[in-house]
Amino acid sequence: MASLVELQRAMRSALHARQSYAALPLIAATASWSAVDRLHVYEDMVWVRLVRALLEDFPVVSQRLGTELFERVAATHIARRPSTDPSLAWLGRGFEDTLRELGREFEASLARLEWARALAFLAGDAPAASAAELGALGETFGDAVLAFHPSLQVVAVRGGVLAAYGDPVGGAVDDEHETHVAVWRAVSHHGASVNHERLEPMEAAALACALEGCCMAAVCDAFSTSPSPAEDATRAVLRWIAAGWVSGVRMPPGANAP
Amino acid sequence: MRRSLGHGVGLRATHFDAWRSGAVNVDWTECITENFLSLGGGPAAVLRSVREQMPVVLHGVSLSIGSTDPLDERYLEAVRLLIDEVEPAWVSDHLSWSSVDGQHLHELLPLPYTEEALVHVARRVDEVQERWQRPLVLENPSSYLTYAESVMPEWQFLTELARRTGCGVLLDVNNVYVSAVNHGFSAEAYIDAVPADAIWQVHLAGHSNVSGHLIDTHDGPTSAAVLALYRRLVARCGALSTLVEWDESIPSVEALVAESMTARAVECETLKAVA
Repeated sequence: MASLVELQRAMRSALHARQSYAALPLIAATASWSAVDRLHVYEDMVWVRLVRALLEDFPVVSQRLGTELFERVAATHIARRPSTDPSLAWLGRGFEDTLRELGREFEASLARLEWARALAFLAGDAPAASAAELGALGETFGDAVLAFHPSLQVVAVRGGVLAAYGDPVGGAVDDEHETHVAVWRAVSHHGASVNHERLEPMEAAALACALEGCCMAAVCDAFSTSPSPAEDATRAVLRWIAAGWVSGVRMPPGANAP
Repeated sequence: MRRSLGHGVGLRATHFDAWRSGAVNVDWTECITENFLSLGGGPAAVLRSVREQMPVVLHGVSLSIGSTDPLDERYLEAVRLLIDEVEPAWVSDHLSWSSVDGQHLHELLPLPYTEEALVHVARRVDEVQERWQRPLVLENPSSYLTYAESVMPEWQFLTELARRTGCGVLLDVNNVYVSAVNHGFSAEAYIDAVPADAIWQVHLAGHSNVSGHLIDTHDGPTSAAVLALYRRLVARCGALSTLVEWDESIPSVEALVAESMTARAVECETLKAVA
């Protein structure tokens, strides 16, 4: 008689690795329904559920690869990176790496954007800050640190990835030049939508710096090679606020309060 | 037995607009716990709005109460935070397992009904109840296989678990029917065997017949056979918090509410007949 853990390991081998020799003797069969066929019901359900979860997170990758190839990639991903989280929402973690290991560089970059979009959808909420909050900082502005909406991310994707999303100036698929993209979730009374938009290199560097917790002086340094650094930095920060990306401003310990 | 909340339908993203506008005319609702764990975004806003309108039950699919792995601390804590936020009427999950050695299969897999499994699950139910400071309600799963080493029927395992731990039972009448057909036991015997005072909630749903075997697809109306079992249950136990599940090929919210009204009518007729 198998212990509970032995039984569960045998079932896992059958359902995940499709090695059913240990599980089959444990299953009660009937004349009308064999143990093999009973196990197949679960094999199919597990497979459909996992593939469907990946399809939901990577619709554009799936569209590019086609159903058959996407399912083969999904099978590789599930075998190499089994789910380790109770939530199915995390199954797509590392899908970009799986695609890259399979030599699918462009689809890997596409998957990076789609995964960032999936993470944005799952992120928590935070209230939006106003420009007045920043204005109130006065001379202490340079010491201030911005807080952002939890869904906001900056990701770098290959040229052509944005075109796959319908961006008319998205570039060619074989363009290996990287473009920086901001990804975030917006909530209105019509529901939640996940958005992404291209960032100019200096703004991308500034936003990445701000997301890492740099003070505003360091964030503004990202524009130092611009012909008008102060104006560009101000314009960028005001745009971040208008887009709802900034959720607050804080002064680090030791800095002078405004 | 808990006082009945009445009749409800599941809170699904397809119908978020109707829920937001208060157009879903039911007594209560049930949401899939895992869909709201982030506490953010549109789903969270809808859940808050619905909670202001009616009682909400949290129904999980990932607790893996029968797993031999340790309970997942992050999951328990995330659900606890959601409980604090939503103040649900109760919290339910399934009598099943879905993970082993840290690997999740994301399926509600059946347990062997043995004393070893009963002791194991009872200890974990105690742990969850202590953690969440409330009774856990467990649903009987639909199943397509049983294990040769099981020594008791599912209903005996479930009711003994409820007796040992004080957990509640979410009796899914469709699952009873599906499993009864697939394994050749009496669905009526199952329905009659679960003590009325252990039943906190009832699920009704549709299933599909695939080559003579039943699959719990939640993609259609409740069958006449399942409604007959529900009638039998109500005749014995009285009014029960009843929820219609429909997760595939989801119909309009009006059709879903109509399905719930059918269950309500069956309950009313049965209670009148009994009286």
